[in-house]
Amino acid sequence: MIIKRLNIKKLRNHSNSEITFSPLINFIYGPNGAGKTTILEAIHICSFGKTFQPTQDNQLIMKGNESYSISCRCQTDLGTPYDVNVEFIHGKKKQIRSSLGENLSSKNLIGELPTVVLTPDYKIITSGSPNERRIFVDKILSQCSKIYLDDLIKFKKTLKQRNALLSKENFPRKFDENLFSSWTEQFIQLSSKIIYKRYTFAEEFPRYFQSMYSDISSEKEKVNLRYLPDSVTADKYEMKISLDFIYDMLRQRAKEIENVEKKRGLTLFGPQKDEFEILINDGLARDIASQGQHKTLLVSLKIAEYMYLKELNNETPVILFDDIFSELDDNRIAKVVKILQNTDAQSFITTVNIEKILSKTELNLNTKRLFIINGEVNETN
Amino acid sequence: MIYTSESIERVVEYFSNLPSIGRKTAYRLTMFLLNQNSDFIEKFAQSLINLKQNIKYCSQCYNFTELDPCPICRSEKRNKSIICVVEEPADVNAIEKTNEYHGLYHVLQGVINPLENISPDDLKIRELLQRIKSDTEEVILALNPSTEGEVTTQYLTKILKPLGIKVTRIARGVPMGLSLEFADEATLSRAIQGRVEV
Repeated sequence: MIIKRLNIKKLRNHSNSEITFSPLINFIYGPNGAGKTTILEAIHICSFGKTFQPTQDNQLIMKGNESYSISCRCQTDLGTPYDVNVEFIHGKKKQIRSSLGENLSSKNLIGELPTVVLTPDYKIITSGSPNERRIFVDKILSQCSKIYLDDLIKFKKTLKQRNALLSKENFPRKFDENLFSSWTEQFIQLSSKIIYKRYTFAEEFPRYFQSMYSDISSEKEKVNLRYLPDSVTADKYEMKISLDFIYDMLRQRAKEIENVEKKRGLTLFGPQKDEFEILINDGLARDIASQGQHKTLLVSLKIAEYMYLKELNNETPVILFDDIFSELDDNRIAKVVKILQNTDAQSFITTVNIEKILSKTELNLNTKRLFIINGEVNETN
Repeated sequence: MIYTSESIERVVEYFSNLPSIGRKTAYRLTMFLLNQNSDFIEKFAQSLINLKQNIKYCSQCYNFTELDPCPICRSEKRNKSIICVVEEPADVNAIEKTNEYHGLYHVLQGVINPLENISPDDLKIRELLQRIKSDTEEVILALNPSTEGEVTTQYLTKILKPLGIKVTRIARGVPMGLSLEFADEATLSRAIQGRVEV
């Protein structure tokens, strides 16, 4: 997918910006607070229905206005046009239209315009809690497979319902065994599908991750991503794990832990407790990686995400890098830019200091430079 | 908004309590009523009173009815050995429109939802069990394919199966009149799972 044109109205400090992009690298530069990241946010909204920042939709609207709107014209890999329109009026439901139809929900958008995002906030992927890594993996798999996304949404709902059933405050009546086992059955069915998909992911993804890491870093460290599902142990790691095997293991676990769950009033097994370990030289990156290693790991994870999505999805993703070059040394900047140029990815890179990048890299002709100040966009090629 | 008359204000208040009606629409409806002759108003008001007074739940299937038992339950033409279980009275209408089903219905009046504290005891499940007699051959579960609907289906299967009757559920898959390419992936994968031999 290539984004050809983007129109942003009344989003943060962009009152009305009409931007055309290069199909390769787009540098977006300008002083702090000029509205660089807002362009990336607008693309992300067209891709996921919401921004990657923790901001609420109400707060995204430009001061003194009642609504924002974004329209985005893209071209698919096959050359057909794909349009997305998102409009948000204060206090109303977000209106999403695309080439797929009217009145869509965010769920319909996910995966159509695949994107890979990296902001300095994503440090938590390598250094934070297991939840952050689950979100990272879920975001990739959801963009690959609508069925995974659908199962994941249902799974989260079922988990909530099962917890509500277990919690005694909500359910002061007599405990209904039949009802409990019906919810458990549904929970295990969805869980096993999710764990199975995560297994296949963990088999394929490290290959991309390792090759990216060795490309960017000049050191010879060995990195890996290992999946440790809760309640499912595959001792016979050689054996190809099957959906039925996972299902049976979860069943068994459910039986073992049933009494504890009833006592604690909480679901105590399932993919909401899974861990994806990121390893560097066989140690946990969270514990032993240096600051510099964390940054290199993160960039490699994200470019690997791009490669993985590109291969598994029918659409090539676009890359959104928010101010990441301020975190990397000159050598690595040059390598990342080189990789981006070699992959023919359409990428959007925000930076304060463009001179630093230009001095270190050789850019080809198809690169676009956009200078942003106070929500105004100027091309400077 | 404050109107000049207490009576108008009162009616607007009532209308705006209705689903999907805001104060502006409520005001428009009130103005419309004000312009009608008193005959219309009297009939309108009376019909509302009748609605509440005459409509009750059928004591057998728990659908809305004026006569108890409801016309479907009392009909001689219906096949009394099949019961179709649905969530809401509106679902009965939907299935009746097909003109394909000639058995009886049972309206659960909801689905199991622990988050909203709806347990099997709050639904008409006990009543369903009481209805099942020796001549009942089949129970069709026609609940919505939501998470809660699926669990209710599983729950009902668990308690109905031991009674030795045939329990079936409606098929899930591609809607008629829709070509395959427009069906969403989740629906299609369900349809492939539930494929039938021809």
